[in-house]
Amino acid sequence: MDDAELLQRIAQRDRQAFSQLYDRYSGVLYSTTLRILNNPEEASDVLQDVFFQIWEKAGSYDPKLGKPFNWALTLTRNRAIDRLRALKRRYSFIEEVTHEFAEGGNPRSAWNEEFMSSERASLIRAAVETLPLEQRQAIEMAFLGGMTQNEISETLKQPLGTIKARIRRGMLKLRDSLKELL
Amino acid sequence: MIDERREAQASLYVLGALPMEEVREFEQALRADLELQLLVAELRSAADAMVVAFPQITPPPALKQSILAAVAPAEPRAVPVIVQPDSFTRALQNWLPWALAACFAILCVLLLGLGHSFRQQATNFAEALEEKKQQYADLQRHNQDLQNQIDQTAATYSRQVGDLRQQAVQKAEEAQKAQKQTADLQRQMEQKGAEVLQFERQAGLLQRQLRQSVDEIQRLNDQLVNPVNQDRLAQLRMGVLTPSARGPAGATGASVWDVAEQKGLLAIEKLTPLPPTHDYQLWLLGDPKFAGPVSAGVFNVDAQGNVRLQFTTAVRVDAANRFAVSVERKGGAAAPSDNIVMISN
Repeated sequence: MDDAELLQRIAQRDRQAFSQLYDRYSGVLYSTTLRILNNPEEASDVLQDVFFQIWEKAGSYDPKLGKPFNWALTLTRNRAIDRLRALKRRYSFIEEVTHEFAEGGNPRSAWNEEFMSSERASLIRAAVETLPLEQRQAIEMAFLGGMTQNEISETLKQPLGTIKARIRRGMLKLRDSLKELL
Repeated sequence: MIDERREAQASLYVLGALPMEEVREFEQALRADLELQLLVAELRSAADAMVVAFPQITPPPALKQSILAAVAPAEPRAVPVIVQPDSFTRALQNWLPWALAACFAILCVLLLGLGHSFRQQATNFAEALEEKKQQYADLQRHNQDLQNQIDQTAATYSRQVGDLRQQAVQKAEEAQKAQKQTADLQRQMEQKGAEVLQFERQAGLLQRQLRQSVDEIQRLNDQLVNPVNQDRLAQLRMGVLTPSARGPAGATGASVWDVAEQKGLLAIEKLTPLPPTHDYQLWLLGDPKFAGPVSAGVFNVDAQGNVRLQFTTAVRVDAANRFAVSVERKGGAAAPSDNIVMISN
């Protein structure tokens, strides 16, 4: 059963489908939330809110606006950034990123099995790692920190034009690297 | 073809980092440009895929149980147990229907009252809803007004920014022109400086020449005041020659006779050239030792009528005070003819 069908079933209050969707998404959504908030308790709290939202709003999901995962990721990102702002904290970019955790034998969810153990996941990770650090940093501060271009410029103490150029080059490179996979 | 500015805007838009004031303009462009829509979709997919690269950590197992428990449906309600009446209450069942009917009548009255009350509340709610709709419409109008103001302000700012940019360009051009003028003036000053140096050198040279001239004048003055030289001057006889009635009107001349040296000098201009058969002859007049003029030789003039010559006499002349020129046959004559063409005063 694909993700869209699961969402349809959830909209009909199917707890089994909801459980399956949780198994597929919880790992990556929790990891994303944890990366934004850098606090396991806060991340768990946000993830719980997100799945309540999925349970409540599954019926309003519109396939035209993206795949179910993109929809869920947007919900998660927005909720985590809101929580970050409520806590009056600022997103901090962590450089270590992928290798330590990815190769460290941490437990993974079923969804992770689909993505992370596949060649596709490795290619995505490799594509992200090829981005220069300063480009990845600027992109992450915007995407996960909810920061505007001006805030990033002030935080990194770099001219606005430099930040724009870094984000543009990084995003285009990422797009080109992932074009075959997405 | 999407330019770099749009690409940067699309990247920032996908990441949620595009400033609000640019979002509206970008979304308008997005609606009209399919290529841009495709780019945004690709960038959004790429950004979402990025999370796969993060360290993957499984949430606490208890979290799933907690979530599933929270969304669990309500437990089915228990079926009510019907208790059979015993023999003591059976007698009451005879009048119980009547009592229930009475209760039902009372309930109907109460429900009618409640229904009226609910209708009243529904009317009130409908009115309140209408009022809220009105307020919503007002707010929408207000919002539209504010949006128009924002658009106007943005347009004004845009114009002002354009003007300021233009002014900046003009100022830059003026500054460049001023720099060029400064450079020209600098070059001119350098040229003038070189000229001043040259003038100073020339002035030095002229001063040296002036000093030499002053020295020369001083030397000549010294010679003039010298008694020997004064005696020499006293020995000179000078005369200015002018045309006579027979001579050419434009002719001029002068002659000097040095008594001490017994030599003289003659200079004449614009005298008519003579044919080869005739000569001009110069005469010295006024020496009482002689009965008539003394000949100082013959001469002729060049094609322009000019002549300059030194002359002497065959006899010593000590008291000549005038000079005359006559036309004579070739070789001259012992005494002047009456054809005198020039004479001194």
